Amino acid sequence: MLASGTWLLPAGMIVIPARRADASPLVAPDTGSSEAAETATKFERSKVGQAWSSVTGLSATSSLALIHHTQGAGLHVAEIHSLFEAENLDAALNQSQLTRVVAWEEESSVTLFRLNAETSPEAAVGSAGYIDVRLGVGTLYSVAAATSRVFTVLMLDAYLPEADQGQTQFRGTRLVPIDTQKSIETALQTIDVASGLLEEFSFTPVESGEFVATRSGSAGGAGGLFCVNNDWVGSNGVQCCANYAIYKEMLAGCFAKFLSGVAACIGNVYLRAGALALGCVAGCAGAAKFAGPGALKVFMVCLALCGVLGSVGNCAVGLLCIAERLFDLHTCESDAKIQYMRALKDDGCWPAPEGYEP
Amino acid sequence: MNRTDQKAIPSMLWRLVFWAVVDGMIIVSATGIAAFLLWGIGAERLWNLRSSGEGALGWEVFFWLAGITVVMLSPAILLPLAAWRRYHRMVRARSDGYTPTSA
Repeated sequence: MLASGTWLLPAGMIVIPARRADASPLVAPDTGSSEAAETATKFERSKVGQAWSSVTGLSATSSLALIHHTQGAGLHVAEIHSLFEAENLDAALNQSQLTRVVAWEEESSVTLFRLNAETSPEAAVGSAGYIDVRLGVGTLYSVAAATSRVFTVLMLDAYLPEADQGQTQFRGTRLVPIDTQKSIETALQTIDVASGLLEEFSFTPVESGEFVATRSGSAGGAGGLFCVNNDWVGSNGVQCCANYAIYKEMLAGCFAKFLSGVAACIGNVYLRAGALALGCVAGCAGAAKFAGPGALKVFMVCLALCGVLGSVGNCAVGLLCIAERLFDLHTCESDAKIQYMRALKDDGCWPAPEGYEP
Repeated sequence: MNRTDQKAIPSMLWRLVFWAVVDGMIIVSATGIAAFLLWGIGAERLWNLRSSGEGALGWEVFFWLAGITVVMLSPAILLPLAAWRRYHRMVRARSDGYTPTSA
């Protein structure tokens, strides 16, 4: 997975997350519109653009499809422009309905899985179409404040051919911010969740840094971990169901931890039971040696008492251990619920629709 | 108590100790395996229930833990029972004229 050193990587690319990407990006290789060229120029001249250029050594030309805008998003276009011209990016971001200006380095992302007709027939439109789901690590970069925040994003690269024309319906990187991480610790927790997914889906590396799922997962619709649900989108274009998917994964993690904890409790009960049985036999035999003619009865009574009382005590300790695990499960699920509610409120997804309530 | 009995009792005691250890190992191992099988079956069912989002898990968890507890407690009953059975078999054999020293 991603090494901790990844967090220190410089910013590499800037993308404005869009509510609904379509085939007409603001800066696109094939539009050639005056608006696109003008936007690219503004981007180059902006402080964000300058910072990006200084890091990447590239210039934001119209050949780079960096920015996608949303369907009917005149408001967003205006906001993007205002962001580029803003002296104080932090303040502009706070005022903007756009969620974040995101900077990440391509190498800091890893493809979680690729869905196509073979791995997930229900998720792919056609045999030539596929969806790459990548996890990226990046920073929210503020030139004015000269600060950055670490965060993680999910990138959905969808290559879905149109059924009737055989042309690309949507091509480009779509950002779905998981969460704005206020510390590296919380960011790493999110990475841990993603790492668990890699194990769960039994990924097979096909080349360095890329993985392909060997069994199908759900991507389309509202139920998958990396879901797209255009009926539930945050005020800033965030896919709200992604928060729900993360929430469900956290609950599953809590429960898995509970199950393994119970197993440990049971194991310890039987370790103690073995020691108890040997101790009872040895202790009672020793006591019986001094009992003279009644040695056998003393041994039997001692063994019964020691065995019953000791086992009951042993089980009581085991049940207390399991009760503690139950308490931990409750605490873990409560924390996940609180985190989910915070994420919904931060992303403007509150209240959650039916079926997605915490 | 005659001389034969006085000799037989320590011998019977050590035989009881030996069989108590053997029975204890068998019972603890068997119930341990049963408990972990029960854990595995229940864990899989609960995991599936949790994954599919079907209903509350309260009673499922309760019965699962109750079953495991019964299995965990069973050595407390089985071990003394086994020892008691060995003891009575020895006493009966002795009353029938069999003693370790006369065998």
